[in-house]
Amino acid sequence: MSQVGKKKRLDAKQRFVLAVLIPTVLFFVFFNFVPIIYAFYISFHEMDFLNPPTFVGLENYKRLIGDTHLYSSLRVTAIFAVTTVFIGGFLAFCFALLINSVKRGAAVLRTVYFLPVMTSLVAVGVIWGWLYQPRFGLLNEVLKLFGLPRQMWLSSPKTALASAIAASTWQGMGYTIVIFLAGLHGISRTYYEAAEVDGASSLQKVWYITIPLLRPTFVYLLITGFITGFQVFDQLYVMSGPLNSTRGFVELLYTRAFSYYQMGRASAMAFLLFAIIVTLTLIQFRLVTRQQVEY
Amino acid sequence: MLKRRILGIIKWIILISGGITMVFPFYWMIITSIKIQSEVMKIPPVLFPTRITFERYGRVIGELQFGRFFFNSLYIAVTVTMAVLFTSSIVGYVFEKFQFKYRNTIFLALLSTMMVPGAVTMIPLYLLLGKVGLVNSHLAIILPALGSVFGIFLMRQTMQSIPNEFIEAGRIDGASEFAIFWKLILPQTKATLSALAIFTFMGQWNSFLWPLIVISSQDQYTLPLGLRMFQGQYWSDMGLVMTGATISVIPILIVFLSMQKTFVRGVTLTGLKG
Repeated sequence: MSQVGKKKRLDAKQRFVLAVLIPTVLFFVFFNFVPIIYAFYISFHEMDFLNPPTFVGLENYKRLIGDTHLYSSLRVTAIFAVTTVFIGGFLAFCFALLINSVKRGAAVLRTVYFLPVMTSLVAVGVIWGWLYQPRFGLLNEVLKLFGLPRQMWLSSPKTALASAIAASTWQGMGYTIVIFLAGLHGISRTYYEAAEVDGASSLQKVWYITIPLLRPTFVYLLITGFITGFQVFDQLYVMSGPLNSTRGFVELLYTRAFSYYQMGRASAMAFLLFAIIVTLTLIQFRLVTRQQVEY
Repeated sequence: MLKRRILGIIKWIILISGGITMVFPFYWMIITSIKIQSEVMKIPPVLFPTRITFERYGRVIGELQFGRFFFNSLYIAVTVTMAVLFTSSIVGYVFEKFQFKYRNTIFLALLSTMMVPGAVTMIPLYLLLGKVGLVNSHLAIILPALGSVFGIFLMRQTMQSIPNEFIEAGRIDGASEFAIFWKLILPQTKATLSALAIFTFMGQWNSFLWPLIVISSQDQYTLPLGLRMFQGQYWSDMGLVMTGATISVIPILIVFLSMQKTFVRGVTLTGLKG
């Protein structure tokens, strides 16, 4: 009797597992694995909407070399990623330290700094486009107030990328601050108290205690920052400067695939991006896991 | 002592100027949307308008279809969020609490797809959805978003802390496997679920590139697409553009302000970026 009951129970379990697992596997096969394999296939073909695909071998990959548009878009993307990660990260770290040190109002400050994170990047681009507007924009009026010369901001190829990066930093800083704050809360007070007994200054405490102990947070932000930074699209597309001065890698890929219908060429670019991201991540892992700090 | 006080004051000056920098663009957006037309592009700029108007809101929501874009964004984001919460938790539960063949292999295969940038899959996915006639419909946005590897991973982690005794107790009571999951397990994961809900919703609400690729007719637009179109079409009428921006930004800010504790916990819990 009990034997039968046990067997039946097992069946119910198995049925449940299968009922969940089969649709899951089918879903991810169709929406993840098939597209990845298909993308690989496309990258070896000349492909648009009208004609059947023609096999071109490595042609699409060979054309990546010496492609000046691609180089300039990579440059834009790399500048974007490096500056948002390092300058944005440095600013966020400073603000996180300050917010962490106040006795009252830390929660309010955190909320205020987090507001732009919630905003869509398209909206950020639109709002900052208005602030940056050369003739009627507010920022040039602010400059005038301090007796500084007017700027063209997004309208000049010289300043467009820097302006777009500044607006993106404004948008993303709150996220980094919150991550740093979580890390800072994890550091035990006793380390600081011991340092105070030894007469350490505030800067010394930050340098010898906070920074080494926040290492995992820095590593996390560095790696995820580069992964997302290299895939930037929205901000640069919406705050576009003249002469492709803000055209990033994904935007070039998007334009080639969906405006010029060069699906094969764009797919080869996508795999290049994949390779760049994987390589950067591996290098960073190597660099940061070499030494670990423990107290 | 004096030095400490001065440092304290400097600290607050930096924090407050930073805070103003964070808030001011929103103020400028809202104020531009309600200024009277002659003051929108006035030099020097009018910081505190004495006369305001809400005329543009009616026009932007009705005639210029922002009401429609808002509804499109809302129902896509709600549908996707509901679906992701359900699929992530039930799949995470199965992976954590059941033994089956190839469990780890399948799980690793799923995780490995997280490494692949969206740029790789967007072209083939567009072509595949085109073949089944789904391009330029909301289904093209909703269907690929119904399952989330990250969500499954997150929910599986959460299920780890739930003791197996709960499941055993449910089985002894004769509850069905689904009922055990739905009534006994799911309610215990509320904290993670709310974090996942917020980020899924926010990600969909703000999503731009994929809708830009798959949606072409204007009545199917989501808010970011509508706003982008606005920026191109009405660049000379900043009052209108800022009205559109306000409509797409303010609701999510209100949601954030009303449940910010969950939000901030969510960020630190998931480490997830927008």
